Amino acid sequence: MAMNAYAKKITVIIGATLLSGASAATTLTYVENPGGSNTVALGYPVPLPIDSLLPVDGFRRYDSLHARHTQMDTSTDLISAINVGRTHNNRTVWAYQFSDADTVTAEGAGVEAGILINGGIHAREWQSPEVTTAIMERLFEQRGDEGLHQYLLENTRLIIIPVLNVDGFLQTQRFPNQVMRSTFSADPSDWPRDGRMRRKNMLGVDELVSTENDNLFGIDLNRNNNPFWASTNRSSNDNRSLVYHGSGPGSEPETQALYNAGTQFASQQMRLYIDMHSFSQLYFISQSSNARYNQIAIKLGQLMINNANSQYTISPDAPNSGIGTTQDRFAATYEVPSYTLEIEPQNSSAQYGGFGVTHDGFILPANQIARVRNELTRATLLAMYAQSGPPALLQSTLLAKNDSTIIASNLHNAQSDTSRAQVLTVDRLPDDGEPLQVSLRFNKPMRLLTPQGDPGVANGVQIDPFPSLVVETLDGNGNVQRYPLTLQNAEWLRDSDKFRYHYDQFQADVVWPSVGSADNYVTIKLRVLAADLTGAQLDGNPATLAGFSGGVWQRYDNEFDQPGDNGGYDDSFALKTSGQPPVYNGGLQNQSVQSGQALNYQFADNVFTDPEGAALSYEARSAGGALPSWLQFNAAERRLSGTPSASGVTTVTITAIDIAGNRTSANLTITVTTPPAPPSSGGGGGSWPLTAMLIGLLLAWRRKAH
Amino acid sequence: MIVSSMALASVFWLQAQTIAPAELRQALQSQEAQQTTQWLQQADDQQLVEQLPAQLEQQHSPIAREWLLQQAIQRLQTMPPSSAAKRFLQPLTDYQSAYALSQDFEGRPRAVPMTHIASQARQTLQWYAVQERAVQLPTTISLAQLSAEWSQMNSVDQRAWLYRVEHEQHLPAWQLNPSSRAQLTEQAPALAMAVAKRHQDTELVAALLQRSADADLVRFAQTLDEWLPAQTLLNLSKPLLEKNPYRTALYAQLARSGDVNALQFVQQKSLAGDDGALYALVQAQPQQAKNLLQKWFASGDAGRQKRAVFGMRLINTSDSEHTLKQWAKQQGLATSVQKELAPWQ
Repeated sequence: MAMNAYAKKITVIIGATLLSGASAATTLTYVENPGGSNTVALGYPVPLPIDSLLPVDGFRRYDSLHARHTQMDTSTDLISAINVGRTHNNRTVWAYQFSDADTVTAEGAGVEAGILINGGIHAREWQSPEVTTAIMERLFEQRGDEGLHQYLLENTRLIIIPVLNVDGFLQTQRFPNQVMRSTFSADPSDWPRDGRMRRKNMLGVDELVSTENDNLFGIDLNRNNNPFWASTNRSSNDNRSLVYHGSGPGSEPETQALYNAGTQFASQQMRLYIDMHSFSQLYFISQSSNARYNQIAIKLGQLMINNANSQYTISPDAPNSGIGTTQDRFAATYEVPSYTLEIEPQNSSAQYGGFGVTHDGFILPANQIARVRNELTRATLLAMYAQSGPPALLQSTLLAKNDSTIIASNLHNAQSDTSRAQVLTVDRLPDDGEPLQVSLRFNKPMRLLTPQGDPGVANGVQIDPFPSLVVETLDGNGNVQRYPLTLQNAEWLRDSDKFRYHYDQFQADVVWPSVGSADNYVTIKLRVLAADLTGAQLDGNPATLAGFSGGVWQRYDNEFDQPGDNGGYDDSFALKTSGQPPVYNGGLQNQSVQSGQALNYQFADNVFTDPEGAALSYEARSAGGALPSWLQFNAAERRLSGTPSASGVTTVTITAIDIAGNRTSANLTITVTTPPAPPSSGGGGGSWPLTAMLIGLLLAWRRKAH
Repeated sequence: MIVSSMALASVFWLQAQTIAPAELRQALQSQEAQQTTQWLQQADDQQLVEQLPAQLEQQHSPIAREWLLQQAIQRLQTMPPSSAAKRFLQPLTDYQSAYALSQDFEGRPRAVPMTHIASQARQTLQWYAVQERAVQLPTTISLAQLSAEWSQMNSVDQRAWLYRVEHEQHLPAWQLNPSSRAQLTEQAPALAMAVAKRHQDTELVAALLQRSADADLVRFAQTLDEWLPAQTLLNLSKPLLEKNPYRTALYAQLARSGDVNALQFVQQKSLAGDDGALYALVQAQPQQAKNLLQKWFASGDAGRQKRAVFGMRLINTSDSEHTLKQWAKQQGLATSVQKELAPWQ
């Protein structure tokens, strides 16, 4: 009859005084019910690491988690194990990539969003490896679901590190009910630090809980990172501190392993980073001076808390601030929404009927973890979905109900990672009052498959159940009429009627409005507005394929084809267009300006002309989509203006648009140069302002002398 | 005494004030606080209950006093229930902390609770109630009746029964039979676990291992080797189906037991393709497992070789990775085996 490995041995370290002589370090034992000396009663069974290859109600042993990861890896080509580095004690840090074999989205050309999730950086936070593993298990189990999970596997590239601080995690699991309480002057009171409550890595630490002189040591891997390494008093240069930042930024092998995981993505592929911790039940969010980036990150954080548990909150950091966390590092390096997720509880395990003793928030009762895994898996997968890219309408079809013939279709096929080619086919215009069937195909599942088998959306998302369809006419005098279509038999399609994934195709019956003779109009369009399951609206211009860089969406256009982060009506389905496109007559002039100086360039009104002699409207964009933040375009005045702060070359595309929506573009470049260097003072020790001041003084003296 | 503790509570009936961690540290380092801390550890039960209010109302700073109040409750938890202790705790059950720390455990600037006095007082009183109830429970109730009533009982009564089954010498003269086992398992699984352990009843254990897993049952299954011999564990393991949530936990205990028959069983299951068994073997007997895996790989059979690769990955040491690299260099492997070894090529 073997004894349990975790013998309830109570060791009292006698006469040990660490620092101030205030108290001796003491080994304490966590117990369920009060009783016995040097015990800490939790009020619920003390979780012990479990041997299981299934996600049971409890916390699995590290070796079980590793076996489960390996089992999944060897069961499908969609998962690949990556050795990203080693720990201080020479254990492998494993990352797992979840994605299909190709490197493009299901459309055939788009960039797969890179998602990096890190778990187990702090050893005692057992909630974290369970949640990272649950995300892996969900994607694995549901990999062929023809819905959300299959979409994510085919359109994103997830790299997940389930346990980064392997040495530390193993230390906590060696002593699942034992800790050493120590005195350290910077802690508010005597805190449990080694054994079950180890947070840091194992640099300079042995694997015994009873060794007293090393129990405070180790490095806080979440204070070991640039750009804010050692920059605030939220980390410490004392190696006994709970937040000891180490000898330099990225000094630790575990930190390097995490960085190595980040390099697995191609340039500008990464779109999301989450570091999973416990406890406090909130998402810390990095913020920068870019308002658009901040808004995207907060909105995404809100999506996650809405879908995790209503008790979670978001906590945006001050812009461009940090304390040396991995969240800071990935936000600054990759300019992606970056989060530190502190898993529940909020304050302590009193939340679950426990005694609420200090630090018991790190010991989540075993009967809570299955729920937590489910909630946070849902939240995280929805964040991945949101960052996979905005919804785009790939195909619209109008079918005559009376004879089932296709009378018009609008198709967008991906050409490159930034563009789609439009194939517009119009056999005839619908008759007034003609019954039609509209079919729409999207680039992603627009609805979730609920457990009841119905189409649903993420929690907190309030959108119309179906797309909005509007017929728009434009006459030669610029008068616009819009006719909203009433949908009948509207349905998001699933199973064999879907396009690629459940609910990525929509179908409805409509009646074409009475617009009168088509000869009265220069354009007739079918405008479509739809929101995906997270509430993101359609890319208004499907001809450009959206991407993400610089912390914001690129080529994600609104209904006026202006880039931004919110999308809008897709009005690319023109059933009638007339007239010739505008003509570019030459005359756009490349511009050069020094950094710090103002640019003000207006092009003439005859640079573009309309063959029919009508007025033109204009838009300007750079290669990435939006103009640089320093540059503004006044379309009415045809004027580019702004003051650059850094050198570089920007290509600006000016597009002239006629009343029928015909477009013609031409480019100009704006070269921003660095101001000339100040002249040297000769001795090498002077400066331009000083030299100028001396010359000024000399001239003043000469004027006075004369 | 009740007046004193209520007065003490009223002192802190204020909105929490945020303090820096250093302020708490400083407050706890005062001579008075240290003396009271020491007294809380050393005073005997009766002395503690009688003198507690006076001790806490000594010349402590308000911060230290609130902290010490929490320490006092933790000491009271470990004592047998008494009316004095209950009178002290009762007013604290809706205590509102006067102080919050300005930083969380990570040093982030956020207000976090310094103490959890109200919840600790409530839970301590409930713990007292459990202990008191345990000695009042009927001595003649049958298992069938207890099982039938279980789901209607309040949590104190349920905990009291569990406490009694675990700790009390005198229990009703319960007879376990197929019917009572079935009823217990179905209607009162928590009690069934306690009874199974108390009566060393393996049939009840076997019945419990067929139930869907919750946290208590998982914990029960993973600690069976604390009170059951290996041969019994082996018999319990044999009928468990592949998706049984407790199977890997039992295999792990078998592999750790050192029992030859148990180990042989786990080895056979491993070779037959049971990942849980292979995991258990690798964890408990890594060197023996490695030798076995080497044999499997040397067999040349692609199926066995893939199992060997999987098992070697589970060992997850630099030594096992070296072996995988050696295997990856081997010529003439089946494509399926090469694929498994691709990360080590």
